[in-house]
Amino acid sequence: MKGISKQFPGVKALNQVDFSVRYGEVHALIGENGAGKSTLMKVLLGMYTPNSGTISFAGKDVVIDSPHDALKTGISMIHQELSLVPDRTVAENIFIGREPVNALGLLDWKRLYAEAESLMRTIGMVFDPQQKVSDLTVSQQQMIEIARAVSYKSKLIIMDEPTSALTDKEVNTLYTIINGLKKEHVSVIFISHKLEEIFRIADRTTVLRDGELVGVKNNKEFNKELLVTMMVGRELNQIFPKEDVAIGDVLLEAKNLTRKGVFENISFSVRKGEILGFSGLMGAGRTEVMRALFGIDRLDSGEVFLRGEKVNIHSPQKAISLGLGMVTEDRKVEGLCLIRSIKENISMVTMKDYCRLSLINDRKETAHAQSKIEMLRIKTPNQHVKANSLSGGNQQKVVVAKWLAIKPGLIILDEPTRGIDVGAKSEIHKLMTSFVKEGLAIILISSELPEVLGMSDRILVMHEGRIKGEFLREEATQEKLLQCAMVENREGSYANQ
Amino acid sequence: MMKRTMGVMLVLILTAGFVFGQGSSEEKDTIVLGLSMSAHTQFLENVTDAALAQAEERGVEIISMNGNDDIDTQINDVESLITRGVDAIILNPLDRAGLGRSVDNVKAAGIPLVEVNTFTNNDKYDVYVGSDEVVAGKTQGNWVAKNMGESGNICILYGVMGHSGQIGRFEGVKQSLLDQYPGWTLLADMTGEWKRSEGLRITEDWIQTYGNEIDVIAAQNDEMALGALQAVQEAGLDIAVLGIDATPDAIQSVIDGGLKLTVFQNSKAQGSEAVNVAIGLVNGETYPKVYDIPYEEVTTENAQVYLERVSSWN
Amino acid sequence: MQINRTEVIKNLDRFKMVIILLLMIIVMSFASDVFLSGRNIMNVVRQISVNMILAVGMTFVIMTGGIDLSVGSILAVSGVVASSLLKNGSVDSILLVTIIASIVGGLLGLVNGLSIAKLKVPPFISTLAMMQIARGIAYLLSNGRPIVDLPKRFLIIGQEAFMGLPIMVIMMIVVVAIGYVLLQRTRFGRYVYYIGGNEEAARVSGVNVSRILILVYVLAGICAGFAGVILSSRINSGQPQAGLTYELYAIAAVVIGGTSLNGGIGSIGGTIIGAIIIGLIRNSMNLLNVSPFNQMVVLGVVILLAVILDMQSSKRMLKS
Repeated sequence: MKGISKQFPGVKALNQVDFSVRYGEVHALIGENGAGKSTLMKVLLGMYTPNSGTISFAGKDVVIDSPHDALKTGISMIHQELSLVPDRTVAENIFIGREPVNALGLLDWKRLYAEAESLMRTIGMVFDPQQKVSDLTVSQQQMIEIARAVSYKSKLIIMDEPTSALTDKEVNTLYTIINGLKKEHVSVIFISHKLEEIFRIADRTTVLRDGELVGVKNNKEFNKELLVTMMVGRELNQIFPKEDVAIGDVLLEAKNLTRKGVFENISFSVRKGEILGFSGLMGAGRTEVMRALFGIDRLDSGEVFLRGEKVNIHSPQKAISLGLGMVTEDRKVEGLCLIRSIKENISMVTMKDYCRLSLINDRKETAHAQSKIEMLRIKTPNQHVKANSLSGGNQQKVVVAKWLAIKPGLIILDEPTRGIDVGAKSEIHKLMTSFVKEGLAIILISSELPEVLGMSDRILVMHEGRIKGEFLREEATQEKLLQCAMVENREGSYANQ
Repeated sequence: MMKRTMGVMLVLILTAGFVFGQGSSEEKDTIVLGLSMSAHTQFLENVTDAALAQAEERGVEIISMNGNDDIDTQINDVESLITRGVDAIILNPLDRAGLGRSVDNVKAAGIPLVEVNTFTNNDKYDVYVGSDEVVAGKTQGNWVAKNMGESGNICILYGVMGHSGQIGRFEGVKQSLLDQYPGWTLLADMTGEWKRSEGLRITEDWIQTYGNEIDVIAAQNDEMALGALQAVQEAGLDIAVLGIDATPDAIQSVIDGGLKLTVFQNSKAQGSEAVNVAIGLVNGETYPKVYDIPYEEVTTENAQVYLERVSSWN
Repeated sequence: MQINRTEVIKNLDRFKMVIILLLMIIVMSFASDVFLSGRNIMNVVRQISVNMILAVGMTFVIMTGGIDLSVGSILAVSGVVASSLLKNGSVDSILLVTIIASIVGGLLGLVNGLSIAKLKVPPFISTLAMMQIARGIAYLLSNGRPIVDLPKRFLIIGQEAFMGLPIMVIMMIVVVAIGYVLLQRTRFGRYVYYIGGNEEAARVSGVNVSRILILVYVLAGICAGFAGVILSSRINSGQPQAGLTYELYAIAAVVIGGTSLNGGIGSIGGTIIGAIIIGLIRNSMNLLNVSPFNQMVVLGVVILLAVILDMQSSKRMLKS
């Protein structure tokens, strides 16, 4: 791609960007949210028409008008949101729309399964092609998407944050697959926010900032600090600014929480001023425990004590009235009304406070929203724009803002920094520190080990619905947590390692 | 009222039980008629009531069904009557063409078929008991020619488009007035779907466009006529509004000097005669193809008589 | 900059229907010299009253991402109830009859709400069933016949005017005003927006989702009940087949008014415009003596165009 510019009315999304990928190369594309990564990829896929610039593929100049064109040219993309048909089999999903047929025009199942199996073998996957996709884990589904891309004989596969929903072990499997692709001379564009993985998997890295090309480097010439500096344009001395805060009395204690088939005998306590980390693999039951604790799902048995008194939290309303807040795992699904304004989102939890006789006091609501926007430094032209116009990091701040309004005693943060850029991430971390300084307790669920290690005073590790271990800040290491999380691992053997 | 509804339902349940449970071997001496009505309007309810009453008087069973203004429902109703093996079917078709196939099916099953009030294009039915829709329209047209002179402007409110009443009644007005007297112009026409609220709304709009130019509004039923009359009175205009059906409400309006004319279609006679003819057919008697129940003109002169007659029916 | 542009487009879109409405009025004022006469305007306002009231209730329902197909039938039940109470003299007061009939509507709406919020039956199915049930009740209560000879006092609502404004129009304005305040200015209204925007987020944020949903369908039922009284008074009778297909006009008004069928976006202001557009189209076609068949086609095409326009603009907003 040469000299690509894309102008939206009022915004220059891309300015004279050059971008190239070699045969069989894993090329990382990195930059803060809004740097132009997605726009560049959408141009490559034909979803946007560039204002200037040319694209050449395999030595020939090409014009790509639609994702379908891109596919024919040999370019495909694995989106963050997977696009599989859950109720159909693995093989059907791989060959969707191109199923082999027999002489009668009927579906040739035998050939379908055989072709799917041999295809997967070439890139190092071992799946039962007759399995239903809905029975697979997220990471396994991702593999199927990759297999589908390969089946189109794509020479270039774009992966948009492929590891954001994966556990560390699954990430390793993905790397194996990517290495398999390289051997087949397939090139991969790897979009990611995680610096570590870029160094592990990518051969070269292109950094974008504000629609401009900052640099392209071989990863051997790189280090983390330099990369971050290139991305944000400023020095970043500490990613996890957790300071030591005095820890107070026990605020909440959970005893033997059980939800049959999901988690069992979960007991823990959290103190004022403490950040309690929950670590574990995807599907270990961490989110489920918090949902039940917060009254979203029902508990089968178990007791919860708040400030020493037994409480029965049967609904989120009850949890909120007791001073609990919950920043849910997926801000788009459970956190925000994307089509409503920032103001409305911030007041979602505390509407009652701005109402008299049920009538909304607009001045009060506006003032409150403004104060939270300033406090959390949410980057927005005003509070009336829709939440979906914000970047991921700012959206996350809006979710945090709505909970701060209740002046919570305990706030549960479920994957608070997933999919947001480094700058926003560090701001969220600073906020967490400032909260505990004011005596709040925080429960932090995170699948990023450095984050849990960096932010938590104490870490609980869950595995298959049970608590498997507890570590203090001083003694915890990545290796220990990982080992604890993976005991008796029954994860499927879908990769030849 | 409630008691009668309950009664009808009881009869239905009992009949259904009889048909499904016993089969037809044991009590073959009782004639079972099937009645398939098209919709619920005041007029058709009268037909239904008269048919049910007549059946009771003649000592025959009757299974009564209603298509609720839906052609598909009525087709299914007829199918199930055939399946139940009734001795004769009385059909009040919602639509002239739509039930043609049902007529074939009934005849293929060898069941005598009487059509009541409205008839199908498919003329394989045995007898049509009813009144000629064209005559109803002619009654309106003749009244206009006689009372309003040889020229003027008329607006027509149609029933549901495609209904045999809509087609026939318009034909009658056309033959007796529009074709006969070139001085009469059809100023505007629109469907009020037999509804009072629509008759009102449409007439309001017509009055805006044409105002005093309108001399007559001929509505194809009384409900629409009463709606039109309301609009005319609210606008303070002098427009003759004519209806058809002679519902108590409309006759009262004629007495009060509101509607100028309504046309009495003898609903009770249609219902009871349909049952008589059906029983006759089962017993092997023969009838002319069209069994006419004549239309009668209701004006200020005779309205009181009709009101008493009609009121006693409800 | 990008955000401003989105805002501009949003405002343009909001104006879009107003512009179409103004265009219609301009074209019609040339096509028909009586169109802008005071009397015709009063006619149109009266003709849209019933649909407007139904559409206000429908706006809340659609805003939650639901649909209510039963309002036409509920309207018939309440009209029949009001008429029979007055006719057999069991209730004397017009006010009381209006309240009772509205409550009847609200109760039928409550059944909708309970089955949707508690039993999780999809709104389309719940209200489709209620459409049948209520229509059946209307026929049962009236024995399939219109209830006529209502006391003259009752006709005040539909046929009299106060200071030049028909009473039914005043009642419509009151309903619209209450609807506006409820949706735009109260906590309840805000919760409706939240649920339509993201039901799960609203639930996690402590909104009692099922209670709000039930209330929304009760509200739609009350509006239908209230409209039923007005229509009965207007046409001087309680008709069991009244309001057939009215739900479709109400839905059309809400959709033309820019409310998203996915919920979360829309306003009472938009619904007002939508109801006026539909009323004007029907009125204009009569003034121009458009044939019955063409009228149906035109109305259908307009609804389709409005939805297409709406989808185009939201697509544009997503792309920017």
